[in-house]
Amino acid sequence: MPATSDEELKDTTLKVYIYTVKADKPVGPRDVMRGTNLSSPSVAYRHLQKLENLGLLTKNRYGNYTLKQKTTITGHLWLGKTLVPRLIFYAAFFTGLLVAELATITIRLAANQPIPTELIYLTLTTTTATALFLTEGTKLHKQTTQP
Amino acid sequence: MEPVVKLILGSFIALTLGLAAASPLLIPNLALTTTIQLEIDTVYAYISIQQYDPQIIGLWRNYSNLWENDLHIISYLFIINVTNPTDKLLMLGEFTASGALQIDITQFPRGELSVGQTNPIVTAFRDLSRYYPGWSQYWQPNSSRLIALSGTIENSNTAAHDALQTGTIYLFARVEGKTYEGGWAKGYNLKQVQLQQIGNEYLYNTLLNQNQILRLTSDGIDVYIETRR
Repeated sequence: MPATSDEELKDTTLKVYIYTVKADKPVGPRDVMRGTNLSSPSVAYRHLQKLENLGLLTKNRYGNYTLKQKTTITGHLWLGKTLVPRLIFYAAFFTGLLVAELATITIRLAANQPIPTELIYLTLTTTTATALFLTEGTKLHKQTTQP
Repeated sequence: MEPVVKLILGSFIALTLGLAAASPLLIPNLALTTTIQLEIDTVYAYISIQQYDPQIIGLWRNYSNLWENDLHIISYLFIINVTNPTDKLLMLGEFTASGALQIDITQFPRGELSVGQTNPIVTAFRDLSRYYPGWSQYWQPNSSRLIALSGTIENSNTAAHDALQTGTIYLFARVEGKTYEGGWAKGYNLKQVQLQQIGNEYLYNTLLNQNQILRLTSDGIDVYIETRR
């Protein structure tokens, strides 16, 4: 899967690209305009052309565009036709850490054992990291999926 | 495979990796959830009501005051046999031994004991869980040790004194400590016994045979049996 630079594939161009990948059929500028909430078909056309020039889409003889190849997008993973921010998986990893730390605290409380200060700091740090990854990951996911 | 399934699977793998990464923190603490039941028994009880001659000057107590006739000075020696029936190394430090006319025990779901005593004669408690010079709180796997609790107390409860004279009392013993890994180790024993009365002394003995005596270590906690020929 070839990589495309972030400068070339971002914002609206990225949304148009994702829309085309998900469509799984040839799409025209009007389809893209409606699907990604663009102001006019000419704006959609400009982005489609840009994607064609990048070698990601091909134009058929009816003037519609289809996916030529899926490219890697920095900070994301393709799951089928869905683009998922890696941050979501980082959030899941830190959630695992957090679960283990909270379980440790619960066990120590149940056994009437003191909670080490280091464990409290570690849990707070992990909670913050989990919250940040989850918030940023969700925000990024919304940016790439919402029209 | 559906993207949603892939997302769930990927998140699950990431979550599992997180748990695995934190397992060195979690696993040692799992030992805290275990509670080992210890075997404990009061094998010897000696209770003596001290007599003082009011004519002798300088005794630390005498019965020169009439009120003090109901106040009994009691010397006691309880020997409890504490057994570690497991293959784990234990650190035991809290010991209780008591005698009373009636002792009732309620055990709560989390293992805590509520001990109610009617007309208590003697209640002895030792917390040796902190450093105690010359004494080892370690119990080797599958080993027993005799522990002494001794002292002198004042008891103004005439009903307790009467109960002692009848000779039928309850003996309660309790031990508490931890496993080397940090889990709890607990045990208790309650039984009704008949004391043997010898003048002002009362004895319950399942420990010593003929020609045997008790030897206490200098710390007064560990006890050994010595056989004499």
